Amino acid sequence: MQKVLIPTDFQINSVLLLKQYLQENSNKPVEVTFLYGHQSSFNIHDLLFYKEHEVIEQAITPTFKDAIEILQNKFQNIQYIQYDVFTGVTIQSFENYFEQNSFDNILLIKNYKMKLQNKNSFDFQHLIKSTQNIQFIELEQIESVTNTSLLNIFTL
Amino acid sequence: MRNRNKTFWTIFSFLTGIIILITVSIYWSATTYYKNDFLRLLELRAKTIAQLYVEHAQNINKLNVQEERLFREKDYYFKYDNSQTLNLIADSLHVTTEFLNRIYTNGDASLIQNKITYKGILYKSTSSNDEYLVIASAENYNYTNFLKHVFQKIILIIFFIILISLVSSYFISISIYKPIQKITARVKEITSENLHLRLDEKSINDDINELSKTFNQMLNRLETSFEIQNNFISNASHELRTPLTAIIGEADVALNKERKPEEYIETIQIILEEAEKLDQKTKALLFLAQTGFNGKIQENKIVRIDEIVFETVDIIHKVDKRYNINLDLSLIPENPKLLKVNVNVQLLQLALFNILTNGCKYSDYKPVTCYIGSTNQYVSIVIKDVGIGIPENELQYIYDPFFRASNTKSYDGFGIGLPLTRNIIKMHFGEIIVTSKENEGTSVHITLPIATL
Repeated sequence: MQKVLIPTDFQINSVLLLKQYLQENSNKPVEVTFLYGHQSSFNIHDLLFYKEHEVIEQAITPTFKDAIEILQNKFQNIQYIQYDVFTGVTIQSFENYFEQNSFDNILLIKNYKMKLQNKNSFDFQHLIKSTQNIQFIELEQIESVTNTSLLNIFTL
Repeated sequence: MRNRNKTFWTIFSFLTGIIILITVSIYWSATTYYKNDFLRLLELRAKTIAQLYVEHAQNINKLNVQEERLFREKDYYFKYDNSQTLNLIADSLHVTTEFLNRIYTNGDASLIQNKITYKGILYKSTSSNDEYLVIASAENYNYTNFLKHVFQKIILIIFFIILISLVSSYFISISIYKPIQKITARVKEITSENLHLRLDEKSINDDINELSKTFNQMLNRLETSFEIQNNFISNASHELRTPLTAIIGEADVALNKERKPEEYIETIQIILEEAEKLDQKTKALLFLAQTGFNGKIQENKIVRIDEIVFETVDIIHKVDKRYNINLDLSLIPENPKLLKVNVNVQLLQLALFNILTNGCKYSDYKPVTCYIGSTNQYVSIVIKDVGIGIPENELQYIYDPFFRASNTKSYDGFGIGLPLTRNIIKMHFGEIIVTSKENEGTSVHITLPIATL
């Protein structure tokens, strides 16, 4: 069983990354976690009513969901796909998160800049790259996707 | 228009009838109330008179008259001896004997005469056994007043009611039939020349909207069947011309001068080959165009989408060997249930045929790739070519019948295939999205709902 972590901005690129990984590892069972960086609020009211799934619901797009479903229907070795929110700001906090959930792999796109829609969300790929203890896999992006249409999942 | 008038008169008569009924019943109950109330009052007075005067007075033989407070009130009392006295007293009171007789026999009676209300009772004295007739009479001022003033007002009110219900039923009948008139006007605009026009559909879920939707669905089917014919002509003129030109050319050259038998054999062989091609093409094109043509009702079937794609590719290869189509099944779902769609097979093949051949045609026979994948709700078919593409500012017009992009001048075509394809997809509750970049290629993304078994 492979536990895979993918930092995501809920754009089609993350799904393409997963597709690439799955095509190379189609025989091993895989558990996938999409991790979304979201700054927790400084407002006591917001903290009281903070719900992880609401943050994800807001960020996730129908296209992303459809693309994930297409992959799930194709690759039966996907055990499950889950979404999580990362709120830490330090390298240490990421290392803790990684160890706690006992991931096996982190997938990253080489030289990728996240396209974030929400002002509270952030790109934490630099945290991963600057850790000493964690290994990650960087995959080449075949082609930079500019439009967010679902057909990219087929053609790329 | 007749229906509108009917509605108008129905609403009008209903409104007016109900309100007049209410008014009249109020008027009637008020008058009876005033009448009965006054009679009760008079009865009370008669009883009081009887208590006050008859009991304590002596020697009441003749008629006694007492005037009291009510408007024009006069109270009478007298001792009853025999029926003769009643005649006498009736004369002096100017009432009928019958009234007095009624008092005597029934114990009480009432009479209204010359605006004066009479109420009489028979009183039996407690001290002696004598019987007295006590009559209280007065003018029912409230009642007459009520009649006088209120009746006029009621007539006035009824007049107003009729006016108001006239106006309101007119507006109601107009507002009911206005949307229908709109639909009628719009439908009148739609002829065989502009079958692509549709009625406006609102998000509100009412009967009128349902009607527009039904009309639009009917127009979709109509337009599709029109377009299928046009599409056949368009395809035929493009596909049949090449072998025909070859046949004519060959025959023409052979007939130029006298030739050896071997040369004739060669020529006829080429002609036969081309004619066979022509036959195959015609068959394939007719197969696509004959939906519902042979009298068989085309029914929707639950089939696997990948089978439809395979068959379509087969047909395309029959039409022209140069068409080069690759199938990419890398994302095809493992579960075959996710590939089942409820479709009219021939129509969908026609739609896919148009998209695939367009891709080949406008990319000068470069390979076209077809991808299939499924989410949990719908099947996606993506058809990607590396052709001339569509200019960005013309993308919005591609579904208009007979529209052709500005960069397609050197290609045969009539601009029929894509509108037809979209209609077919729409009829199957699917969606078609075309994305394109000029000189880079076009991608067509078709989604169809997965059939629920």
